[in-house]
Amino acid sequence: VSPAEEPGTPGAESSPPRGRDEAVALPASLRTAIVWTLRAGVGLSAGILAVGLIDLAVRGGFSATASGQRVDWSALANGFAVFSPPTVLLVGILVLILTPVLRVILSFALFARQRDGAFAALTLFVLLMLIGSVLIGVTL
Amino acid sequence: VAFPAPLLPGALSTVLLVALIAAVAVGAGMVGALLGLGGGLFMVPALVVLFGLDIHLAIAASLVSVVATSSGSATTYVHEGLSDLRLAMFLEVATVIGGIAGAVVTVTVLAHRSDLLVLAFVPVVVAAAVLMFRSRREDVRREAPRDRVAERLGLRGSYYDERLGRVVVYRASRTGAGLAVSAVAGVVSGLLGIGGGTFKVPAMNSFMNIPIRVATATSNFMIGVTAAAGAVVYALSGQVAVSVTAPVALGMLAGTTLGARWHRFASFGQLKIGFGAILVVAAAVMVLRGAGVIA
Repeated sequence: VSPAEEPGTPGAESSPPRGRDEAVALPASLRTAIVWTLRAGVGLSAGILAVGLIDLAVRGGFSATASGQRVDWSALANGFAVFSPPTVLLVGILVLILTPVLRVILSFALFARQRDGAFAALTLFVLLMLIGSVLIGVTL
Repeated sequence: VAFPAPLLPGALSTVLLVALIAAVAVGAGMVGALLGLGGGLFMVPALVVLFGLDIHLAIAASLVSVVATSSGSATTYVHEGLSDLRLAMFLEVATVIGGIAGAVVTVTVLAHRSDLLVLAFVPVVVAAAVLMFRSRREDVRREAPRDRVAERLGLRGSYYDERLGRVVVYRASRTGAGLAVSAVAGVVSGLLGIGGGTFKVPAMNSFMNIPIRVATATSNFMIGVTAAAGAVVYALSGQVAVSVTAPVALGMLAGTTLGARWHRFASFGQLKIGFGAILVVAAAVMVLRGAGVIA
């Protein structure tokens, strides 16, 4: 057990507020869940991007431009099904971007289950902002 | 929104071009992980100057990659207990709003103003240098006023410092200033495609009284959500060049993994010298570009 796992070493700070130490120590489950969410999301997207890049190298089609078009979800699904390199890469990028969002959802759920009202509210607010960014992205 | 066609060297084959972009990204990611700034400050000028990419596309590619950089190295920091997750989730409230606002401005108001975006990098680099030298002498640890919000939310903690050989206890202070700086860092992140750790780490250190190693690890963790908020706007509105972004993301991810592994072996001095070196490179690139010395 690393000493870093033991919060609140006494004596170093003057009069720490009593009764909140169990709240200060984040549950190990949240830390573990966050680490695995991030690992899984980044690993999955890196895999998709690597496959897409190999495909791009083999079949060509490198483009240093953006589509300039809003994401067309049905075209995205079709493109991924037929393995069109740009679509595969876009899916990899979207999986990557959604990974931290998943982490926020997870944090919110765990704080809510712990009845930590303040942090459940903070994470819910961040989540609502992220949903807002999706709405902005699809309307621009 | 249509961007001017980028000037990529047409003679290079796809494989070589992708490999070159990825190699540059590995270097940017490595430095970014060591310094907690995400590598974007280096990546954006590199894509513009070395590869002739339009700065909008460079910003989008960098921002998407910063998500990978943060998430990749965050697993190491979080696992080691260096990231203060409560502090991160508190400050994310401000960084996410800023990140979305910055991205919206680049995609809409500045859609055809590549010149302004290039110029905007200069004050960012200067501010980063000033902040670095300001916090150079001490690693915080002076008396800070008690903060009611921080006490209410339990924003304090401790970590085991291998170099000091003891547990370091800290308590967050000046949460208002912390939120303000986080919001600005978020705007800069979404606007210019960088992580924003440049501003958050020294601010968390000198304003909020957070030890620099915890600040670095915590900032790095926050950057994932901050960059994602902006990257969503770029990606869903079709402003991401996928063939460029993929090698940048994979390269920066690889560089970050290496950098995070070395993080524990780097001393404060080495961290700051590394920080200084990257800033000098970034500043030189932008000044040369502004003066028209390089295209």
